[in-house]
Amino acid sequence: MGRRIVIDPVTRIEGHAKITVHLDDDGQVQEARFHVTEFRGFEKFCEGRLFHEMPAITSRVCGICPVSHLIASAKAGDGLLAVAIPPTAEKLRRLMHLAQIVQSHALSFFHLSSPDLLFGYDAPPDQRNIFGVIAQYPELARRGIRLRQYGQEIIETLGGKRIHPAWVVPGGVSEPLDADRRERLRQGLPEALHGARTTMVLFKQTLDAHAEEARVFGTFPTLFAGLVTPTGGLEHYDGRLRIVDPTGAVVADGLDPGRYWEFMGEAVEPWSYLKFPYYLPGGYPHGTYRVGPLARLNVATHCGTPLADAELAEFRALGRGPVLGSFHYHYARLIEILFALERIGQLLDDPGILDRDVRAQAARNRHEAVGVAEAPRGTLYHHYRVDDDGVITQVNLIIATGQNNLAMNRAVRQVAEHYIVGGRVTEGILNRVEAVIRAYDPCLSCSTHAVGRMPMAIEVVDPDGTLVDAVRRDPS
Amino acid sequence: MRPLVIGLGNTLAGDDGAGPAVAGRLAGRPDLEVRIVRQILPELAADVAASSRVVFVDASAVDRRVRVVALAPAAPAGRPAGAHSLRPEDVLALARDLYDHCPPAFLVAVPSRDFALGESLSATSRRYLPAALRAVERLIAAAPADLIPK
Repeated sequence: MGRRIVIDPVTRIEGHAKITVHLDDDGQVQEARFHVTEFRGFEKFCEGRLFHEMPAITSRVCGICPVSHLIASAKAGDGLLAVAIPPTAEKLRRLMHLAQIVQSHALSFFHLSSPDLLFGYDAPPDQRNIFGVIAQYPELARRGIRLRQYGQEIIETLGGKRIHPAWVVPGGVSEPLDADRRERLRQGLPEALHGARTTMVLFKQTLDAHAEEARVFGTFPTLFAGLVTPTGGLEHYDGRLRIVDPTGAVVADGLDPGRYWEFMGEAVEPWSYLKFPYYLPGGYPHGTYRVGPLARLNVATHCGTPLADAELAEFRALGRGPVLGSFHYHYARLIEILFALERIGQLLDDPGILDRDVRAQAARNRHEAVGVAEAPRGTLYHHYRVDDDGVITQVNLIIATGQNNLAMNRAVRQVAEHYIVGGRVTEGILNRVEAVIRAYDPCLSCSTHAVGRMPMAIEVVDPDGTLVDAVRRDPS
Repeated sequence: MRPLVIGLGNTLAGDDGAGPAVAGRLAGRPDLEVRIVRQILPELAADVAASSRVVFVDASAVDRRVRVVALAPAAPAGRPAGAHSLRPEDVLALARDLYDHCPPAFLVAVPSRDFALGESLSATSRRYLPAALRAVERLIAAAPADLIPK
């Protein structure tokens, strides 16, 4: 009789999800699915609100990367106003967005994934967590906290508060930066850069120990998509979309992300609330593409900063063309942290960053607009339609995690096929199935948390629903 | 060192915003540090370690009245696998282990019922906000000797 393995919820990711692995009569993996069980209804919730409110509302989609929603939403607002924002406003938005990249990637790497990387996937669960890292690598733990704090200090200094700042607005930003605050932000940069560089050294020392995971953690050919600068460089705030194939050949370049419907389809499946975007010319599901740090490094010709470019050259040696292993999202995150810190330094040194002209004023001039940015996890689209009064009539949010949905499902199956043999399930195997999902750092958005909620269980269930095995963990 | 009040919760998830609502009413007081957070993440340990005492305020789906709990750092056996949405006890342990200081700490739980998407608190939550606020203010003002759990 076949069996179904359920991991519910998946731990150390943002939001709620579960994984089911269906086994056949011989205990071999028949099918694997990554289900998103959390339904937020944000798009309907936003209808009837003024578009000027959207940055503040949508930034509350996520407690980890609010700035990405803020930026994409404000850019959609720029489109509705039909304005070009002042150059200094763009620099300041970029500064905040890069700070977001630093703090979000630091959370993923230091606090969620480093326990697996440092202790191995077969280490006991009571060691393989942030407390285990603190016990054995306290300096690394402090470094991770300091990097997150530095990113958040920039966000707080610019936006007035750490979470859900309302400083980014349609037309620009609400307040300029002054010299005193710029100097404070400069002071933290050397320590942050030192922390990022020493962590990169440590990470590369662990690569040999994870050779098998690097080989089977979502290593397969897909397309990769991401924004690039006009010269093809790494980009997080603006630019045109480039898509490359598994050999590195550019299959589409200069795509206008504001017309995403011309090249992106969105499929739905009855077993998940998360949509399944795909590259339209490839069809569903063959048009699977990946976004996020790995994809951005695969589509870009260069980073554009010295330290990150040196690391990118070494990173590229992992593959012949694009790096295909999803395990290397971790590596790519560290390179992006370096890049973001270098760019933050360049922006803080830019004399124009203190200019006081930071907001373009206009009334609504269009009824429809799309705002796009590269969030920590990949390309993020905010598409709004408004009435004559600027009241939202329709919203479509295409989040990065959704675009990785097809790849995550394929990765789960690959890991399950490799590690679950004869139906034997151990903690190490379960953690590997979860870990391949964590490599994508999926952001399913935070659920309500409150005292007495958030149970956690891993269950093995017969097709008729009979519970044949169960593992329970503390909430996380 | 000043006391730290941490309001926990998502202000777009109905009563989950009860903690931020209480903490928000204390924001701006010069004798306090106030943080409003969606979830407890590890870096909060640095703020906790830099405070004289800490009061977490959170919505509770299980309590029928405002409940005050003295908190201790989590024991190793009870620690979570992940680092998203750590419990208050976990961040106390982080503060102690990483920064060698864990101040007296308390949780004020606010009875809450409705966590559906929305920006307003239910009548239940609203009814208990004044009591929760008084509880926080008592904990902030209490002499150190009075903070020892009886």
